[in-house]
Amino acid sequence: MMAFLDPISYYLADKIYYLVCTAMFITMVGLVVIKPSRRLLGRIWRHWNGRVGLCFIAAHILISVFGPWLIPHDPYTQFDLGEIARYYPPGLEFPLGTDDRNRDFLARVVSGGRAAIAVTCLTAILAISWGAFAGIFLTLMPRWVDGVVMRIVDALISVPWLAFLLLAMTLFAGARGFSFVPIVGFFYSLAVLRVVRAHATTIVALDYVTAARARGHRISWIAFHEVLPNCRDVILVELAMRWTWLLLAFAVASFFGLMVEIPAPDWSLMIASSRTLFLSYPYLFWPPVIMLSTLVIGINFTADGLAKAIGLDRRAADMV
Amino acid sequence: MLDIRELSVGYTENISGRKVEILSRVNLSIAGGETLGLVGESGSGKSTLGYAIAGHLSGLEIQNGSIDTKENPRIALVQQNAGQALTPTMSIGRQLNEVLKYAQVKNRTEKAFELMEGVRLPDPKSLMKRLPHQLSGGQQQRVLIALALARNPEILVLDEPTTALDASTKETLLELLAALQKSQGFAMLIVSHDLGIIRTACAETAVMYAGAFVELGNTEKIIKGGHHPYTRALVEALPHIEERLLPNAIEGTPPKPGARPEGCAFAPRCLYAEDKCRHAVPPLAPAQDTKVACFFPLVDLRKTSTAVPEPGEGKERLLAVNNISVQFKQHGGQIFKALDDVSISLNTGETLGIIGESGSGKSTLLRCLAGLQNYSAGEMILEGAEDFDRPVEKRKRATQRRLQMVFQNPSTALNPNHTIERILEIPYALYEPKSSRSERSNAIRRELDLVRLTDQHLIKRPRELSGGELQRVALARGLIARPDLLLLDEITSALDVSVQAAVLDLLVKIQRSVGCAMILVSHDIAVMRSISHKLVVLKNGRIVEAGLTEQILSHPKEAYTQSLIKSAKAITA
Repeated sequence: MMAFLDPISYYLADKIYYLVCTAMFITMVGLVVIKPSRRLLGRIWRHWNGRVGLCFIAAHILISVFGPWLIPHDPYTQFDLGEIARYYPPGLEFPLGTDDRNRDFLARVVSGGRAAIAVTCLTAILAISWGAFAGIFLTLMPRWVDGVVMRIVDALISVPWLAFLLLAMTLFAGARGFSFVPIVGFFYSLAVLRVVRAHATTIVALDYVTAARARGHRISWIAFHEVLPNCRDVILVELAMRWTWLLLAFAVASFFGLMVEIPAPDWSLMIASSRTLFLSYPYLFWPPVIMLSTLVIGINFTADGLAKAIGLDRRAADMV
Repeated sequence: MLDIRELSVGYTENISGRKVEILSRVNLSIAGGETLGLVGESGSGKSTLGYAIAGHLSGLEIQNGSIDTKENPRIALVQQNAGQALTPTMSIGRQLNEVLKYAQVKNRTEKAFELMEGVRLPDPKSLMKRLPHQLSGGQQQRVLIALALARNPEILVLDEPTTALDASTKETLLELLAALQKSQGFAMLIVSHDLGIIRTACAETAVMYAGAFVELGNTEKIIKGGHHPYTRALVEALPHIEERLLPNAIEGTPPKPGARPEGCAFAPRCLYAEDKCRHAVPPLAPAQDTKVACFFPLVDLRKTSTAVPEPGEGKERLLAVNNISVQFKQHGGQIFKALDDVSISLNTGETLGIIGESGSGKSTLLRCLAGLQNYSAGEMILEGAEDFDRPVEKRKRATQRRLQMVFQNPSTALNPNHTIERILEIPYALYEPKSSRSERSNAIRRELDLVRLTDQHLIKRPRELSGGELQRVALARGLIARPDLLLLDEITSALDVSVQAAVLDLLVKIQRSVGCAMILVSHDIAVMRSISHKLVVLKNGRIVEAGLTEQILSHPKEAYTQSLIKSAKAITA
């Protein structure tokens, strides 16, 4: 059983994590099986960063889905190893050794991304859908509405999200892990809003949108049928890109002990607790670092490859 | 000066390694001071030849033959779209300076002024400080020419130099080029789809089709009596400015590179093709007064254009616009009048042409009618609709349906993500929300048939269709609502002449079978003459002259109309 200080959050995160992993596994198989997406995958594969990214992501998905079955130990069990009190070195029984409470470190590393992946995946979806929705609608609104909203967005972008997160966590003590989703989701959606809005303005200026207006369609219809399908590529790349940033944001919050709490396994928490020991016990420091960075790099590179495959320049999108 | 022998340019396909020719076995030579025109429809390879001469192959390879020039020739290229060819963030002065620096000129400021004066740009001192978007289209084109002249070129290649320009600006630009050529003695190669400007500017012309020359010779002889069936068809596709006749379209589409037929490339579309044409490629050989690549060159002159029918009897008033004005506030708080006291009226089944140069307010007038633009004074009446004076979103569905609009550029007027079926279904579902699926598909097929497209187009997306097919889809999208009034905004100006002729022919047929009234906006007088019954001449937002088309074009009263007709005649074949 999980002895977790914020049990509601971790319970939810655990369930969502399995959902996310299964969904990603199915998507991965689907991408390979369905023909048009296989072609897209092939085009991502053509760029070296897409290739590296896809490999990293595939490795992560395989580890998450099959890892827990292959490892004999539970991440929470504390072993009594006799004369060695803690930090048992890597060996046959414990391939990555044990941590300060003599728990199997490999089991902890394998399940250490759960909370992060589950929470950030939800956050990314929220940020993208809300940001894209608002960004597209703003371009169809009268110009003064657009002006006022964008100035407010500019002001909000300059506010650090961490401060708001701290505030929310003290207010909603029950499910604090998940207060990350609406708070950070909202702040990240502002950046998405600006990117999508910038793209949508070029679409709205085209004649087919004018034609739809002249026929008498409502603005909501135009947004969903004429503008949104033409922003799909940008939104897809934004989703992948924002997810990496959110993973880093989650890691930052967790590193400070704001998200996942001891003794639940979490990469950034492991890094935080072993960062003073990494010269004497490097085997406790490097595995979570490698796992976290390969996941972030993997998603980021895949987003890069995806952007190149569908002909978008990510550097241009980043500048907005 | 320039000698091209058996030149083939193309690319190698990625996977199959197959070599695809864009230009095939072109022979050409130009001497200093000569001007050669290259004409053809889009996709004929004329721009590729121009760029190959200028040394810009960008991904293409020379597969055969050679381009011989003297050592280190100075060749300059003037690109197609002047607005896009200039760096938007650099002032004109800096761009000139950059080129002059590369040409290792010493007194760069002096030379820059000299160049600006050479292309007759007014007030060079203040122009130097401006950015490209602060210049008019004609001025941008001149700056581009000035940049090209900076290195004293021996050969000047101009790619579609006048497409974005008005008739009068075109005329002055061509005069300028002729004068510059006289003083500097360079050879000129003008690439254009516009037979009119080729006739004005070039003594010699090469007609291109599917990457090869089909006819080469004296421009006047080619236009007055070309011997190749394609040349003849191209000339007959031009709208007539002198007579009220519909131009003839060329059936079919030109073959794409890599899918060119064996034998003569034009044979599948040729009215005179025989078995021999389908198996052997005719060489470019002298025939009478030009060089023709045809086994059976045409000798006699024929003319088979058809006259345009007058609108039927029993006309009722449909639309009246009385004293309408539209104002915009400019940056400095000044008020700019886009439309000033404009009145028009239209009967059912009639076609009204609105002609004017860019900035005359002709598009603004259409936007007013469509309910996309607010106006400050005047009234608009559509018979049988009380809410016509409101913006489009406040009009009733029934009123919205009675008026449909077709745009200039079909490639931006159709959503690239929708199939053709979906594009046609959207308006029908909007105006007939209770219709069943079979009613919708019947309506879609009926419209496709009307614009002469087939069922197999339904599942395609816009990028898979040619420009002419796209404009037909756009027309069908407007017609599926069965409107009383169709607003057509420059709908043929982005199309090749042969396609333009087909679309004009289609408009006349549609009007006869559906009976809707049309308002056609254009800057092309010949197009107006061929299909519109009434004409309105606009200048700076005011009506200069209005009346029956025939009357205005044969006996123009106002000086402005006369000058429009004169400059149009000067550059029309």
